[in-house]
Amino acid sequence: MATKRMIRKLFRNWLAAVGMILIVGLVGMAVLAPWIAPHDPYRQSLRNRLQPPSKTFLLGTDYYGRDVLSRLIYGARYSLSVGLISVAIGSTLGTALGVLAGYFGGAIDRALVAVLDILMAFPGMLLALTIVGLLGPGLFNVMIAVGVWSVPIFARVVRANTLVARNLQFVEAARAVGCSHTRTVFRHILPESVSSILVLCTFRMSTAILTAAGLSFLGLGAQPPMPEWGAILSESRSILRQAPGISVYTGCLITLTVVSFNLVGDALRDLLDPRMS
Amino acid sequence: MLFPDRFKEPQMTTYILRKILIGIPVLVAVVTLVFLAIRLTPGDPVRQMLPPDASEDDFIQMREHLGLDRPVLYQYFRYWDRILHGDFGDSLRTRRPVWDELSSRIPFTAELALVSVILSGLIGIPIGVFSAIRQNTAFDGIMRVAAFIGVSFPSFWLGTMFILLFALSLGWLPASGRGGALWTLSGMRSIILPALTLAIGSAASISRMTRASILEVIRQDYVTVAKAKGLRESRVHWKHVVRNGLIPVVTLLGMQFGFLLGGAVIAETIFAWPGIGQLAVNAILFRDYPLIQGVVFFFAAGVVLVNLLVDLTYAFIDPRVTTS
Repeated sequence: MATKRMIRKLFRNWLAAVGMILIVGLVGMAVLAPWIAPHDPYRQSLRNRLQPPSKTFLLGTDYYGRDVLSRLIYGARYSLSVGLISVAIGSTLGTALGVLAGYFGGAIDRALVAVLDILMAFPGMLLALTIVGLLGPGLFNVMIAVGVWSVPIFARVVRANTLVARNLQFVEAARAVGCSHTRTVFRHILPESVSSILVLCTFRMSTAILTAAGLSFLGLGAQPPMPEWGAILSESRSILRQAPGISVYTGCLITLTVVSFNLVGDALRDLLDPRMS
Repeated sequence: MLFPDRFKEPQMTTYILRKILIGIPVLVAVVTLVFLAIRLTPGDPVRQMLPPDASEDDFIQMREHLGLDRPVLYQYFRYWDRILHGDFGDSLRTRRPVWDELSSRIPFTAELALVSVILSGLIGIPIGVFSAIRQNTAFDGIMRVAAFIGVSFPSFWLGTMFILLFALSLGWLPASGRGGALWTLSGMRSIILPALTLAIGSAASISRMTRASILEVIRQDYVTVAKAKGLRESRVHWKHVVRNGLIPVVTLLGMQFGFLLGGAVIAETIFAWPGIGQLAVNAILFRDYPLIQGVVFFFAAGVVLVNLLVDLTYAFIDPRVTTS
């Protein structure tokens, strides 16, 4: 089977294998959070404020006496789902627009390309910031903002693939035997873009997680006491002198997550879509 | 001579005019989108601007004050009329004109962005060049890993770690604030950490791009010819490879400027740098819509302007651009 062969190839690249294992670990952490977190991530305890790492609190406690390890474990849920949801928004909308522009061409194409160019001219962080500025702070709005930022990126790639696919012989043949537009697009055109979309999704996951954490860090995303990584990092800034560990662990975790998605993305790109590198 | 002769040719004039004309629709689109978005977002912004205990009269008065009771098309043209006269309205929070708020902070953000662009170029370009010339050596390998980590690094964490290390632990540099003008010692000391925070990520992508660009040039026929006719390797590298290989890097440096504006928001917040970024975050947190509009307009204008400058520089150093 093709998928099996691909996964085997992916694991032969040891960097990609490390990335995959890390991602599986992170997803496991997020899913199993209620069972593996040693404490309640929201439970405050004045008696246990700013404890150093110990047997009860493996990574110590924060200003409100909450267990840092448990908060980080639960944080994986927020960061990964923010990544997933915003990539889902961006890839779905972007793919739809890209296929529409590439398949039908003409005025639709020109109009869409013009809008995409304007969106692309904006640096991502500024675009996300602008959207959050208009919608208001909050984790949900951050997902929309990061999703919208990804739309032109997906749309451009899918449009380019569609332009090529549209003129392939088997697509022409499909149209000639009377396939509807819908069937042609879903059965023949879109499959040509699947690998590019997959590669982009992986890269966008890392960007989305990073940006969402950044916006939460600024206070524009997840709001306290939610244990989102960016928010934890932001909270830990005021106690940097007393408990530098919290900042260090949280930052390491974010970096590790971003690096693992980038590693897998790099390997997937080389494997599936060598033209993109 | 400052400008080469080709800058006087009609071809060049059309090129410059075309580039300027492309920037205008971007600005118009941004202003229109922001205008529409504020009016279309769920939840009346006027309600969010007022304290929760505001009466219905306050609400109506506020709407009238902002001109929101007029037809949308009227509001739109009125809005443009004011922008073209440099009037962005008053900040809801400070009651000062938005333009005053912006203009007093623009120099600080510009200063930070400029120092960061220079730093990222100074770090990224040499690393990229040497990585390419010494391709597949240990130096190349280490630098590629460093660049990979560099682009994955959250700048907001890097800034925090810089504070922890250089300000809190070692006490070498101030943890926050702007220490004064750039040419003073305290000014220089205070800009190092925020500028480095911004520059590291850019430096990583600049080194990657530089390396790729130089490698492409190294494989060109004229480089082989230059080597074949017996030129010293260092001469081939500097005269033929690096000069041509750095042309695309100019574009990248320009693009980084846009990213730096985005990154500046984070760096300015971490280091309490009194620039536009900090203003933007506060405007969003306080839902200060006139200020948000002003900041977004500033960002868009900055990006358009820098893109224009990059295109012009590009045409200036590479004659092939205008003919294609």
